[in-house]
Amino acid sequence: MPKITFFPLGNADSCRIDLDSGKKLLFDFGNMRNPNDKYDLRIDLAAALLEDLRAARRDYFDVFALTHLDDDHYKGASEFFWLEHDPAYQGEGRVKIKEFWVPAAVILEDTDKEEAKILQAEARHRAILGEGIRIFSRPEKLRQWLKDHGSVLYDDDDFVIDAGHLVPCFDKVEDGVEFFVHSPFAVASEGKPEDRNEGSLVFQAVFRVDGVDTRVMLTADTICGNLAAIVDITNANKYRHGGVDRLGWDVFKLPHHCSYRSLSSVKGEEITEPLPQIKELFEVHGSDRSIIVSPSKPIPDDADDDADDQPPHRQAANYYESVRDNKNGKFIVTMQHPTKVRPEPLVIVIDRFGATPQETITRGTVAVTTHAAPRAG
Amino acid sequence: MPGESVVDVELTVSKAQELARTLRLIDLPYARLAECRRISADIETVVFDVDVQLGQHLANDIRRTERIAAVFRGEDTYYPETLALRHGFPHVPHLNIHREQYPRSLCLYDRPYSEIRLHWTALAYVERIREWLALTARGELHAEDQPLEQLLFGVPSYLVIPADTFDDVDSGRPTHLFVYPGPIGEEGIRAELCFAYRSVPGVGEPASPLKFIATTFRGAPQYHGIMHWQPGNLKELHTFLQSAGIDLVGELRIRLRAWERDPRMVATKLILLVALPKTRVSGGDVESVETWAFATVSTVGETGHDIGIWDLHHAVPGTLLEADLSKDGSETGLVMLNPVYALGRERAARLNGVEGRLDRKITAVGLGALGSQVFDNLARAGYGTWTLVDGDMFLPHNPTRHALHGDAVGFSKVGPLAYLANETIEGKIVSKHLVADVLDPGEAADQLQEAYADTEILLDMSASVPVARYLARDVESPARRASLYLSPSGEDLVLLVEDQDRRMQLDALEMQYYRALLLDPALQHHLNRAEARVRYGLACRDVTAIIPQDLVALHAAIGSRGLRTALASAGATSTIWRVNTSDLTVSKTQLPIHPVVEQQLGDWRVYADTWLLEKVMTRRREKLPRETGGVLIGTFDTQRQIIYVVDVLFSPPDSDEWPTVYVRGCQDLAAEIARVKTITAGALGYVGEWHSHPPGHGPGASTTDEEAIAMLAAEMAYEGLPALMLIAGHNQEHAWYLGRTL
Repeated sequence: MPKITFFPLGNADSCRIDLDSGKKLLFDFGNMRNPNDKYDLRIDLAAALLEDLRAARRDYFDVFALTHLDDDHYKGASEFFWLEHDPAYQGEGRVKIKEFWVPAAVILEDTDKEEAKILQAEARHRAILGEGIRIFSRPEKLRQWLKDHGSVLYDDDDFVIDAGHLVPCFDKVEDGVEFFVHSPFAVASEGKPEDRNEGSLVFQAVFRVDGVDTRVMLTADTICGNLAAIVDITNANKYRHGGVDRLGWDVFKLPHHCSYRSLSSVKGEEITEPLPQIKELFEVHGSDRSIIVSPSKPIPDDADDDADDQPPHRQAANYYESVRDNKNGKFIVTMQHPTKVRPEPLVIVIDRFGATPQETITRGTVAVTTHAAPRAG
Repeated sequence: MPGESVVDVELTVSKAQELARTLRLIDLPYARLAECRRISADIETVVFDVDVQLGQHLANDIRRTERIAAVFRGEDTYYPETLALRHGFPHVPHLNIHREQYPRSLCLYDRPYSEIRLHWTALAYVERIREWLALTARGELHAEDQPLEQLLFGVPSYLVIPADTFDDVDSGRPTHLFVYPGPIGEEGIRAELCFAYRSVPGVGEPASPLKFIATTFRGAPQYHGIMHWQPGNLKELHTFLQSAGIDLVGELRIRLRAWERDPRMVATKLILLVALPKTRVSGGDVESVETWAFATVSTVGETGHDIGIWDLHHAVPGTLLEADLSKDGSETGLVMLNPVYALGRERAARLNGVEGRLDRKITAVGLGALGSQVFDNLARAGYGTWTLVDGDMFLPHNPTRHALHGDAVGFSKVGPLAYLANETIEGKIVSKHLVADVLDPGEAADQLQEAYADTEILLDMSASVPVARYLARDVESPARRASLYLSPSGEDLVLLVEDQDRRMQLDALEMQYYRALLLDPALQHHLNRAEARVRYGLACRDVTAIIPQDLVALHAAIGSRGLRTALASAGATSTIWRVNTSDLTVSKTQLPIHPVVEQQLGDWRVYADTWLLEKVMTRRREKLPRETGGVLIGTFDTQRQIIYVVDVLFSPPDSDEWPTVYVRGCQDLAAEIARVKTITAGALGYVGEWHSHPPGHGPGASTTDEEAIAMLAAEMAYEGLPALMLIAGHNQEHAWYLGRTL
């Protein structure tokens, strides 16, 4: 059965998709854990991913998608991955990337952050070679850049993909999954091509198991205006989607760590009132018993915490919880899953019953036999 | 919830304490304590919420969070009762059946509580509840064919019903069964048991009076169970059965009227036997049948009154011209029984995992230590329709290694064995028996002939070579023969089975088995007689071997399974199993089987096989251009005038081997023949001579050969045996010659 794993990383993103074919896809790599703090409850992402790869006898990901160039989505990636552009990032134990998925902005934008530069260099290297990369959206500036650098990709529709299309290398029937590209879309890319969050990757992944489709919305740090635009554009192009609800979801990975800004520009006193398009996205397009995943720190308990402007915002969480309650759904915060005291990766298995979060109690003998034994002296 | 609310630390029942403590652990996910209650001094309830792992699509309406109450009793002798408190919790498989519908009581375990209790932890209990809910949500909990655990209040009474009770469905006629109490009053047995018979048993059957009359109903196939709680009276049961298309009260009005003039029936009580076929998916095929049984508290007379078909005057019915439809059976209390089917052949086979044909006709000869236990194993598994043949009386020393017990002493061996098998497996007769010695049947000869003619398998377990040989060669029967016996030490078991078409007959298999003993060093001591023998009577033959029952039982187990396996395939088989008595490992040797080559020579018939001829031809080629030869090993069956040739010995060292002449020497030959006799316990010995002819020469006998045969014949004549010679020539040709001095 296909499986999606969300890692407890604080306010950072990383999720892995495992397909029945054995293919592994990684969306973002925000390894925020402080290795010098033994009380840091965030998972060591690199270690967790390596353990899984070892068990699967692999040294690569079929896809690594970097939704945008913010460090909570790439931190540590330059130490983890084998990068083609520079032998300095090649060596034993590094994990290879078969296909690097990036929005056009990753190629085009100016960045002064060290690690962002390294990843940008990798994306540019692959883009020029025309191999091992897929670029999402094609603003005129990208076409020019590809042309200037002699890349064969400048008019290639398979490797440079616009919003409103399916990623060509995955098929719902053969691979058990398809990816519909929602963002970056033309308006945002043409208008402000370098705006990182606006130009970030948003997919609807549709899994098919035993003839049953399960929809997973994978967003980046999309802010409310862009999310609303996605709803407007998708509704306007409904006829092109062959009866498939491209806004439909059974699992929704929240943008921007449960920030109110992804719902509205106004936080609200107790609850954030979303823009009408976003209200529609959650309340109309979400299924019964659907699951909302917040890749974030624990939700603050009370108003005393409101002074901190950083997400997660309890007002936004209150909105998502109201959605959950109406749908007999589930609202899962990665750093609270299954408990705040001992967060663990959230594993969602997809089968003919839809998406089922795995909720086995891993305490007691189970814990003792799956973790290293405490040493006695 | 009943009882007084207490804080968790006040709980006194240890499992309740443990559960409450676990649920309060700060980082325990997916389960939360709600409250604790004390119902009485030693009954306490822990109420808690559990999260259920759910997808978007569900088969049953289970919610993400369910409230559960666990009721613990101080004595801890039965599962804690696990109740789902949400009103409207769906009726799903694996609920306990109660007198009330709500709260639903989850049937969590399919193993006895004594086993569960060994490893019970509060966490495992919570996880089992969560797993039960998650699987129920997916409709996957009833994946196996597991019946509902019925929580019967009071002492459950068993009702044993015939295996075919509901077989006669198509006729639409109800079956009536006569119910008598079973054995009662044994100390320690708490349950009651009744037997239901198809007819009133004859003389000598249950002495106790008729207890109930049972009448059957069969419902339309159902996807969901319809018995949502335990019906307390006829009217409630009627309501349930309506959804299976049964008009219970209406039907009873018709059935009871037929008994109106029968005072014995009117005075007896009624059992309602209901079969409810179940499908796995809505509208699918019937996969299982739930059987329910309810006994009325009142008599047939009173029940008739309660459904308005008659009035009672001093317990005698007076018919009402028109049924009083206002009487709906609500006054007729019901007690739930636990119906169990008698053990029929199919179920015995299913419980044994035996597949394929069950009713093979088998005539078994020799029901001694091994034979009785092999039969016992197979008959209990519902395998075979048997005729048992043995002329022996069961003597006091026999029970030490026999399926029968001391109470059979003085009877035949076969009579009690057949009786027990027929008592064990209900339905058509499993076993007949014939008290007869097959070699000297006397008056039983005709019956034996019939048995032989009408059997598919003729199974020799007599441990007697003459009997095996007789069954193989002298009995008129289309049956496939098989032989099963122990080596004298009891350490080896031999199974010889003919092929379906009898191309390899039992005597040929026996001969090739002897040869295997000669060839395989590991088998050299196979037929060595155990030293110790014990006398049990005065006659010369009243001795018996010392073989432990554990070895007999072990070999009976292997033999019954081995036989079943061999009969399931069409080929011949020849197998030896050996027990290593020091470490009790069993090893198996599959003996090779070679096609028989036979030829009639005057009055005698020679049986050899391809292996033997190949050995002779190979030896000839090796020795060319010289001639070579040796002696033939085998045995004479003088009774049937058969010579079995099994092996050859090569030329003794003092032989003369020239290109045109061969003179066999005799150095060490006597010792070699003695070795053959020892290994085969005298079954094989010298039967003749063989030699080869030079290149370009066929196997025709030369003048010298003819002279040699004549001389040999003169010598053999002293024993009244013919002289046999085998000559191997070019082109793989061979010829047999028989010399006889009249």
